[in-house]
Amino acid sequence: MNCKIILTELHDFLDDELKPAQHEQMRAHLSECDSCHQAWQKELQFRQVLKEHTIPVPALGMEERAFAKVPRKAERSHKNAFVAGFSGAMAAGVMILIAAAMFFNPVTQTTVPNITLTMHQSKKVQMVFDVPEMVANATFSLKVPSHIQIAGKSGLHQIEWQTALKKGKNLLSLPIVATAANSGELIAEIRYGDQVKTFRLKLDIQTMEQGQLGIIKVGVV
Amino acid sequence: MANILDFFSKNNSPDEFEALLKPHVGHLYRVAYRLTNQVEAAEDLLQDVILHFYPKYQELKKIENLKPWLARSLYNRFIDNLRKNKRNPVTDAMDDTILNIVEDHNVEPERETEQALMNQRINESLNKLNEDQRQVVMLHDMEGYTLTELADIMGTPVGTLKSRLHRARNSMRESLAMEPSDTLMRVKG
Repeated sequence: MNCKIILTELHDFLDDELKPAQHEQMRAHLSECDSCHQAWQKELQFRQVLKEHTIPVPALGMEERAFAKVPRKAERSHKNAFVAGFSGAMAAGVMILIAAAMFFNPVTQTTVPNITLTMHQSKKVQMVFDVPEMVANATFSLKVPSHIQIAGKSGLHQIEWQTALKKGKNLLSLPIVATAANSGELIAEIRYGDQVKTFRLKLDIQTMEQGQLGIIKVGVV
Repeated sequence: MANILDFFSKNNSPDEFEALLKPHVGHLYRVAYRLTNQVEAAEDLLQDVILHFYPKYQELKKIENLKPWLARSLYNRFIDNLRKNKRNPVTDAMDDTILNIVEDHNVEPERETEQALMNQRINESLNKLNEDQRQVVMLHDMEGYTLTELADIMGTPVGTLKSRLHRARNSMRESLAMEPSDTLMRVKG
C-alpha cells in the first residue's frame, strides 16, 4: 500500500468499512509512515471534536412528557377485564357502519340509527369516524347499558381513552353482546379541546336465535 | 383505515410499552434533536413518534434490535412532518447550547466554556451544510450510527451517504479551520 492509497482509504479505515485484510495493511502502514500517521492523527482529532459536540439537555421530566400522550386511563380501568363468558366467535357478517364526518362542526346527529342484537350473541359494531384533519389527542368515551357487554371487557359499561385520529376514516370496531332483552343506547363521545361530539346508537334486543341485520349507513352527522 | 381501538384486540399495556421504550428515550431524543435542532421540536417529535408506536406495541416486542428500528421510524416521522408542514427547522436554537452547558455543569468551568465555544463553532459549521449532509454527519460522526445502519434508517445507499459525509467533513474542516488529513500528503507528494 502506498501513501496515496492510504489517504484514499483513511476514511473507510476510520469508519470500519474495510475488509479485515485491508484494515490490517492500513494499520501496518500507519505505524510505519510518519506523514500518514500524522494525517491519521489529525483526522482522529477532527472526529473527536465532532464526537464531543453536545446538545442542549432537555428540562427535567422529559421521559414523562415523552409518554404523556400514550392512552393510559382506559387501559388502567381495563386491566384484567377479560372475563370468560362470551369470548366465543362472533356472529359472522353482522356489522353496523356509522359514518360520521366533520365532527368539528357544531352539528347534531339528526337520526339515531338502530341495530337489533340477539341475546347472548356477539355482534361487531363498526363505526367509522371521518375527520377532516389529524387530531393528535382526542378523548374517546363509550357508554353502554348495564345489560350490554363489550367483548373482552366484561363488566365495564363506561370506558374512556385517549387516541389519535388520523385524517380521513378512523375505525372503531366494537364487539358487543346483550345479556337481557331490554332496549338501550350505545353512546360514543369524542372530545377534542373544548369541542365535544356525541354519537348515539339505539340497541334493540331480541330473543330469537338469529337477528336479521345488514349493513346500515347513517348519514353525515 | 386507522383503527382507533387497537387495544381491544391487542390488549396493550402502557406500562409494558413504557418499559420497552424507556431505555431508548434518551437516545431517541438525541436523534430527534439532531434532526430538528430545537429542544421543543425534538420533544414534540419524540412524543409524536411514541404515540405512533403505541398501537404497534405487539410488533415492537418482536423486534430484536430496536435501536435502529426506532431511529428509522423517528426519521420517517420527521420527514413526513417536514413534508406536511413545509417548514425547515432553522438552527437558531443552537445558540442556546452555550447557555445550557455552562448552566448545567459547574465542574471545571474553564474546560466547559472551552467546550461550549467549540460547540458553537461546530454549530456554525453545521449550519453551512445542506440538510442531507448535516443529518449524515450528525448521525454518523456525532451519534455513532454506522453507514449501513444509516442506509437502512434513511433509505439511502451507502455510497451516497459516504459522498455526503465526505463533503460535509471537508466543509466543516474548512469552517473550523482544521487542516484536512491529506494536506501533509499533498505537500509531500
